[in-house]
Amino acid sequence: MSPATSTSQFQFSNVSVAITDYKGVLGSNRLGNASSIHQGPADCHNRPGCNGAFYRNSFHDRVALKSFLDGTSRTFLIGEDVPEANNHSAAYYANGDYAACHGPPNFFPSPARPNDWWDVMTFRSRHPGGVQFALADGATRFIIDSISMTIYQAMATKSGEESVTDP
Amino acid sequence: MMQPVIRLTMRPSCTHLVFVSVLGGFLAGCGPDGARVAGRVTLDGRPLETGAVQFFAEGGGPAVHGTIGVDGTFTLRLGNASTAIPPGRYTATVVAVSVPAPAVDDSRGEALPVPITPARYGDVSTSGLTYELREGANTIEIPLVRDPAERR
Repeated sequence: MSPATSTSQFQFSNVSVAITDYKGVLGSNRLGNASSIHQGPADCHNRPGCNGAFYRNSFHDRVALKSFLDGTSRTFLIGEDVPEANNHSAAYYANGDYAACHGPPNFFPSPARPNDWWDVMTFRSRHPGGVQFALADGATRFIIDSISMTIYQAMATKSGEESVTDP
Repeated sequence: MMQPVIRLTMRPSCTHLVFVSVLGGFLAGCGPDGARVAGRVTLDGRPLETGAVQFFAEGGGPAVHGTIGVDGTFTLRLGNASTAIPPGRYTATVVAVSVPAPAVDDSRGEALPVPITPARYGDVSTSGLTYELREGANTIEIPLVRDPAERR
């Protein structure tokens, strides 16, 4: 857990706010659509209907445990991020506490581009080679960087009806 | 993925791991082996000065990525700790957006830049950019071409 604060967060520039290392999993939707280097179904971040567990408007959709049709042990709920790489990291804030699996684990542009939300609202960590995720059944998994993108994105969706074996 | 058995004696650590993990798919950090991949992206014959590349392994493997420098060059990375890419056939995507990207918009917060590369190169199903990455050093040239209509 990061105790740090930041003055460069979206909607809070020049205001010191707490930042979070943990983000809800929006799903596999392609944030920013064609502006993003990543892949996935159409962007959804500013409306209801994302295909994962937590997103800005998930309160509209009243996402419940029964909506995890892929199985709670096969669906990501929360993953790690590195706030320095993503200026959507304001804690306890609906536009700072989610990210998507449209890009692979540990996508770090070099040099950093923390304002390029269409590319950097993904999951990452400082652990060499992977990212920790909590699944909807409460288990935690260390997801390695070389995970199949097909499996990674399938595990990001709550009811995509994909058949997934253990990563 | 199957390696000739004779290679067990040449690279015991890595090859053995591959052998016992046939069900596990690709491996990260498998010794010093793998493909090292550097390259250059051009747009209508001139180096692309910004953007990113991503390579998707065919058959459901990992996605690896690189940042395009001002001279159009990139180096592929797997996650945060490795430049050793699992060899195999990959489909590449390239997206570069208008520079400079819009600054943070405090009121709405979501200014989205316009891609300067054609959208088809940013979609893994339409890019048409396929490459075979082999063990050792690989140099990849990615020549992007805009149709007259795409030059606006």
